[in-house]
Amino acid sequence: MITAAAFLLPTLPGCSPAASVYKTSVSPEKFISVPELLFLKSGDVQIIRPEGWIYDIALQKKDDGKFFALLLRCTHMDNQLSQDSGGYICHLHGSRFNTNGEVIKGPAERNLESLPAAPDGKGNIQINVKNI
Amino acid sequence: MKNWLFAIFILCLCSKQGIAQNRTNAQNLIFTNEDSLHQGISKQKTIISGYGSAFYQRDMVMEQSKATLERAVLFVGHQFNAKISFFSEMEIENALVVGADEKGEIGMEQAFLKFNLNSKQYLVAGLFIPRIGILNENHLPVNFNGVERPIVETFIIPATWRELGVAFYGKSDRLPILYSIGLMNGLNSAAFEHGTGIKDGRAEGSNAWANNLAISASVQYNLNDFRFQVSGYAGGTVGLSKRGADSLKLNSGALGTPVYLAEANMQYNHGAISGKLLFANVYYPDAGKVNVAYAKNLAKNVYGGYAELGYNWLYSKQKNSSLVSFARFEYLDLNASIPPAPKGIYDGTLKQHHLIVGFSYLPIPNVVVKADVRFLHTGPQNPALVINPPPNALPYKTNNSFINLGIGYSF
Repeated sequence: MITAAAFLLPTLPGCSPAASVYKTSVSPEKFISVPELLFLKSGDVQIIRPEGWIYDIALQKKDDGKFFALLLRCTHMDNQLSQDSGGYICHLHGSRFNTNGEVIKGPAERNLESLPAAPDGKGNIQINVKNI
Repeated sequence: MKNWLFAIFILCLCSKQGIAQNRTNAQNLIFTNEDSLHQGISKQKTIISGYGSAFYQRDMVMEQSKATLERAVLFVGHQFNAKISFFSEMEIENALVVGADEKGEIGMEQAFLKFNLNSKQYLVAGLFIPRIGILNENHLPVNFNGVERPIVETFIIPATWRELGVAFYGKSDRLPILYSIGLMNGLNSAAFEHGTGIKDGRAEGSNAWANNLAISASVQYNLNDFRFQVSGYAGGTVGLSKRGADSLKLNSGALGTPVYLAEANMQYNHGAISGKLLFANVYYPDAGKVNVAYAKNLAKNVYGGYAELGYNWLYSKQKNSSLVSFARFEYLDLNASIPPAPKGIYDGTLKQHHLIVGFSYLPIPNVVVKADVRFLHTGPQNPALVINPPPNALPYKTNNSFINLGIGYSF
C-alpha cells in the first residue's frame, strides 16, 4: 500500500517532484551564477551543484524577493545533506535542518552556513563563495 | 651584545619547540578547524561527539521496576581530506560490563571509511549500518518517539543492525531519490533464537563467518511532506564450510540457507504533525532444516508493522523546543508461519499488539525527556512450551502494561 502511494502521489496536481539539480561551475572570482528564471515563485528552492565540490548549495527565493543560500554540509560531522520534507536531513546520524538552515533535530548543534546571494541585475543570482 | 642576541634566539627556538612538544598529535589535529571543499586541499579534522539514554520502567504485571543507563555512545570522526573520512561509534550498554550480576555490553556500532566520489555519491567500507527501516540509520534518542525503540524495529528489523562490508550510496539529479546498495557478511543461523527473529544472528563486526554473504538495497523517495522508502535484504545464514554444513544437512555458500527481508515505510512531516507507517516481513524458507540442525524453534515467516502519529504543541510557539505527544500502534507476529511439527512449535505469546502513548519534550533539539505507557497484548501461552508451569511460576498474563520514563541526549 505504501509503495503504491509512492508511485501514485506524483500524478496528483501539486505533488510533482522538485526541480532537478542545477550544475554549474565557480568563477575565478569565487562566485556561482544561477539563472533567476529557475525561480518561478517565492519559496522555490533550487539545488546547485558546483563542479568539483563535495557539497551542494540550496538557493531559495524568500517571500520578500530576496535570495538565501545554504551550504548543505552537516554541522555535526560534515556529511552531505539531502532535501527532506520541510528542509534538509543528514543520513549519517539524523540531524535535521529547516529551510532557513536552523537545527530542528540533533545531534548537530550549529545552524547551516549561509552564503551571501543577490541578483546581479542581468538575470542571474550571484552566490558569493569566497569564504568557503 | 651578540651573545645576548644569540641567547634570546636560542631561548625563542626552545620555547617554540617546547610548545609544540607539549601538544600531542591528536591535539594538533583537533585544534586545526579548517577544511576546504576543493579536491585534495583540506586540513585534517577530528570530531568527538555522541549520544546516550537512560530510563526507568515499571512492569505492572510482574510489579517489577528497573532503571538503567541504557546506552552511552561515543562518536569519533576524522576527516583525512575532502574525499576520505572515518566515522565510528562505540557503545556501552547498561553502564557496567564487568562487576555486575546482569552484565552490560560494550561494542562498536559503526567503524567505517567513507569515500566521497562526488557531491551525490559515496562509498563506505567497514562496519556500517545498512539502510533498512526508519530507525536503523537514525537511532538517536532525539530522533524517535517513545522511551523504547519501536518493537517492530527491534525484533523484525534488528535495531542498529551493523555488519562488515561495503556499500554505495547516491542520490538522483532529476528526481528526489536516494538509493543504496551494500554487500556484507551474512547472519549466523546457529545463533538465531526462538522469539527474537533474526536479531541474534548478527555478528556485529565480531569474528563473523564470511562464507555466507548478504546484499541489502534501498530506494528512498522524497515528495513534499512525504518520504517513502522500500528496502530489501537477502543473505545466506550458514557460514560453515561445505563439509560442516553438509554434516548438518544445511546448504552452505554465499546465499546458502537464505533469509529474505522486505520493508516499506512512509514518513510525513507537515508543520506540527508527524506520522510514520512501516511494514516489514522476514521469510526464512529453510527454518525447519535449521531447527533440526540446532534443536531450535524458529519460524519460517515473521512480520510486523506500526503506525505512529505525533503532534508538536510548541511548533508555532517556540523555535528550538518541541513537545510532541504521540501514539503508536505496533503489530508483530514472530511466528506467523512455522515449520510443521515436530520441526516447529507454535508460540502464541509471539503474536503481539503494542499501543504506546506518551510524549517527548525537547527543550533544545539535542536533549529529550520522554514518558510513555506501553500496553501489551499477546496470544496465549502454549502449554507445550512451558517448562515451569503454575503454581511454581506465575500464570502467564496476555495483557500487561509498562510505564516508561527516560532521558536522552546527542551532540
